[in-house]
Amino acid sequence: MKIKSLFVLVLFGFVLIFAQKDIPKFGEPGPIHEKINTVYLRETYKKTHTKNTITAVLADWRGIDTLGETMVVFAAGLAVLIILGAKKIK
Amino acid sequence: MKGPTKSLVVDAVSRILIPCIFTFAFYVLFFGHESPGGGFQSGALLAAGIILSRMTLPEKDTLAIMTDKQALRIAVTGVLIYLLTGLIAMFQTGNYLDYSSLFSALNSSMNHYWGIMFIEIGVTLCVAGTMVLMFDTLGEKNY
Repeated sequence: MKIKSLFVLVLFGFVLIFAQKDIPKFGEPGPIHEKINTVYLRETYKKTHTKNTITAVLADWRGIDTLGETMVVFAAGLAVLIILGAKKIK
Repeated sequence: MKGPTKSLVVDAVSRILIPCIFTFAFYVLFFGHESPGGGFQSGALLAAGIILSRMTLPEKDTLAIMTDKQALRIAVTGVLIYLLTGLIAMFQTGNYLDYSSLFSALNSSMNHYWGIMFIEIGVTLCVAGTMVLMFDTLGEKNY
């Protein structure tokens, strides 16, 4: 049993070492840094007329994402209420 | 007169502190458009004020701010405000949560301002109501 675990572990280590070649260098301008980031910074004030880019990205560009976050928070509250507090609130 | 802590100092300090926390929560909400802040932070601050009042003030005074049933209703109202803003935007422009012509009387800049403001108010109500509801559910008192 322990031999099998060691075999799987060594195999997983080789997979990690193999995949490590494809990680971009630290600070290297990769595909993420080049495309969407500059588009947000350049186009936000023109398209959404909002000075705060973070608010614009959170509420305007990615409004459906924020809707999902809100509903997750609400679902967590409902889960606590249903599982632990069913007697308290009629 | 005195709350659960039986201390006059804690009672007096929290009666001064809670309105300041609420004021700062509304500041964070309404200036989130131009400075750091927004709905989640503002909701957490509102809930912090209410939870502080739950821990220090007498039961009659803390329930005058928000009861647990009201917390549940406020959380539902927040999610509904968010969904309805998206639906109104969809009827006006065809895209869900596209604020560019939310109200036909305003120009595009003010439309974006009010669209973001409405969904931030919805997020604030949802987060504040959910946190107070969780505190009341996990606490040992039956309100």
